[in-house]
Amino acid sequence: MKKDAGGPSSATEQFEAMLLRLLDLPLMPPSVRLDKTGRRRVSAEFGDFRGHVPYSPGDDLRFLDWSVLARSGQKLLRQFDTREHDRLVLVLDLSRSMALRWPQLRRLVLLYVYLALHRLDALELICVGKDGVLVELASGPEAWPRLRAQVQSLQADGSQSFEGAAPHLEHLGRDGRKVLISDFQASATVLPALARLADMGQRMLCLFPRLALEEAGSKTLAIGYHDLQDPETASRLRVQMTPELLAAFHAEQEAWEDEMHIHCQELGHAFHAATLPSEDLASHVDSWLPFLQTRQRQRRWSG
Amino acid sequence: MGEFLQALELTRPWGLLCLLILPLVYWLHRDPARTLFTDRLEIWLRALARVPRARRRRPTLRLILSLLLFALLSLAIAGVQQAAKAGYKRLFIVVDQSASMTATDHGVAAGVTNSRIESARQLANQELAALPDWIPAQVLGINGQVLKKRVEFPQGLDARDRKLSESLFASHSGHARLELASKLAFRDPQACVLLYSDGAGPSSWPTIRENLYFRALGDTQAKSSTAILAARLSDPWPGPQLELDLVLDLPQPDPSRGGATIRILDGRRKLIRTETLALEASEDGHVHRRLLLPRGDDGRVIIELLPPDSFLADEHIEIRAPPPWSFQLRALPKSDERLGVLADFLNTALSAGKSAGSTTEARARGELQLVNGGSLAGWPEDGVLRILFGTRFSTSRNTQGLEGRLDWQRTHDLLRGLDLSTLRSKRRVLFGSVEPADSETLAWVSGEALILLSKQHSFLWLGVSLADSNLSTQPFLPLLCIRALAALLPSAGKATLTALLDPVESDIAATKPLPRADTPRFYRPPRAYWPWLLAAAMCLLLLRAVLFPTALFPSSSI
Repeated sequence: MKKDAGGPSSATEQFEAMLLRLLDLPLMPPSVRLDKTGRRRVSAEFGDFRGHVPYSPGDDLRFLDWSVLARSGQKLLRQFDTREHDRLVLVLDLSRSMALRWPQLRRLVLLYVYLALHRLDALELICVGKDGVLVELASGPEAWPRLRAQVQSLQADGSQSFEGAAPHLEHLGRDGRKVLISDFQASATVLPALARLADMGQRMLCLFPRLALEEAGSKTLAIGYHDLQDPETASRLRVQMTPELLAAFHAEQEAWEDEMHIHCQELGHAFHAATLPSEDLASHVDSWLPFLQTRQRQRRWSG
Repeated sequence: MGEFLQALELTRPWGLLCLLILPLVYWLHRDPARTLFTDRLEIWLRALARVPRARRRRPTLRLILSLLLFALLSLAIAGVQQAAKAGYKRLFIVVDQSASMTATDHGVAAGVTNSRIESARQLANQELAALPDWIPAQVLGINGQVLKKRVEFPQGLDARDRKLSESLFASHSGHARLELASKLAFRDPQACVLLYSDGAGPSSWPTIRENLYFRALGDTQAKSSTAILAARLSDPWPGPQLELDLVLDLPQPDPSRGGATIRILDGRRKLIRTETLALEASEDGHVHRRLLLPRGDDGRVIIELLPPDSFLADEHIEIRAPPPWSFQLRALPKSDERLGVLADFLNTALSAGKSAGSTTEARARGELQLVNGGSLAGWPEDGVLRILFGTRFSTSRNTQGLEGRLDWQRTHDLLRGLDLSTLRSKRRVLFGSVEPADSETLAWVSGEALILLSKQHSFLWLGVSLADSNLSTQPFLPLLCIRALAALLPSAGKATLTALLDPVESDIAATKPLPRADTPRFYRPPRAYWPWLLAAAMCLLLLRAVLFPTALFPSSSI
């Protein structure tokens, strides 16, 4: 009884302790970088390119445009906009189909919120749930308790997919940390929705949080007769679970992720899939690394 | 398979009610579906396209074993069995034992030694080997008189218990009443009668019946070329030789083939004589021959006519000529070796030793008693022949040695050419004052009889014993004894005519019976499967206990 009573509380405390440790590490919420050349990378570091100004002795040679110098012999300095307001836009699909993932996904959202409040300028949380679209805008670590309670109270019981968040994304810039978390089902509706976002000029990081069951090589399902039910559409499928079927499912899951990666790339989005850690591993930093951006991993997020 | 299923029947159909348990077993073993909420139905559908069989609900091995177990038990209770199949319930193999069955259709000269009856034996062996186990079989021989069980199968033993030996298929010298096989078939409709015959000569195929099947043997073109038509063996007792008169049927003279040969053998197949015959027929068209033969050991004479043709039965006969009489030595004193030597001599000389007792007629008079010493109360008239050495009668008395002059009837048939002068003895028995009426004194000393013969009382009496005299070493003694026996049985010699083959049996050309397309169908008893079903159910139970241990059957206890 003592263990049961203290278990969840203890797990929560351990998770929050891990959040504190994250601040000591060079980890960031992911962002979409549509760089295709080295120039874009520079742009990502210093802001948007605005124009050239004549070079004066003493100026920082890092901003000297060597290509212009090579072409015309003129010494010009590249001038950039001031650094952009860095914020995380987190779009959450809280439809009923996400209910299976929500217990573990909640921690990921908390982790993103925590990092955004402490590392970034602002956080815009857009939840598409039962009560429509909930938009929370916050900045600074002082907003953490409020947002933590807000996230804790969220339930995956909506009937609308993430496309409901489209009107709230119109005012956002082209780049930045815009993460869309969804199960991306079903393909027939998801792909048009992603296309509409792309038409709006929004470039999203489409993040698919896998369950352990959906990871290749997982053998967590019991062999026998299973009644598969989709909680959102109430569709049912009865199968005789066998090792062969499980292996086929994993193969199809991988194929789907590859397809989604290609589709997103065509639309200008980025797609990433990672396995949510289980309850006992939720307080380990390593378990969350697939969802976080490090300096070395920056290119991996790019589309 | 369909035929097999049609042949199944249930002895206890109500046992199938036990199959109603199967739904209960299915319900007890049901595997309820586990509900799994997932948003990946689209992916699962794709996976199902790869593994379509996963759409079907497959019964578990445990369920299958349980259902099978109860199904087998239900069938066992219902008494599933293979229905009986109608057919013949017994088999009689009837073999034609007529003389023509000994014919070898291609002839011994062609290297084929299988006679028709030997072929019948081989065929019968094959027939018995293919016979179902539950069909009793008997082998019957059929000759000119009766249809009889072979002695090898007393009480009608099943013929399949042993391989049919050659001795089973001995042939008879005459024809066979094959119609007896038809009667047997009529008498026992549930028996299948297989008649092995050649249908040759007077033994023609019998009336056909539904349960009578023919197995034809032999060549329809076969014929016999040489034959012994008559044979007579005469014994001119006490002459030293036998006389054999033969009448032969020989083919027309053929200079290229040479003449025919008669070969005479004794009972041990030792060659006695070979005679080449000139192919000169007498007026009646046959060859007549008279041969003189020595006496064999047991009186058997085998006559073979060479070269053989395809029918040996009329070229090979055996005549059993018993000796004129046979005797048994009675009261032979074993302690006196000299008497034993004399007995052995008589046995050998008269060739009667091995046939003693073989002729009932001769036995009554054929008992010989050799007596050395002793005494007799009166003249014996029991038919026993006696040779008495120094035996005393009631009026006899002893005296010293052979005193006086020894004389004998030198011209008498028994003593002609014999010399008794060297006979010596320490003691002598005087016959007495009264002699038998028909007695004949052959020798005497000083007027007293020394050797006396009585045909009425069948004895030869000598006045000295073997113990007190040199009689046993006298050369005249064996001849005297033999002549005395011949004199006591003057009419013993006789002629023997052996039963010969009926001339019509020489027609050995086989005939074919009416063709018949069907083959005999034998009865098959019902075959119960419940023991096998029960055993299979027990095996399934064990397997289930091993694979799926329970509290009742833990795996460690298996």
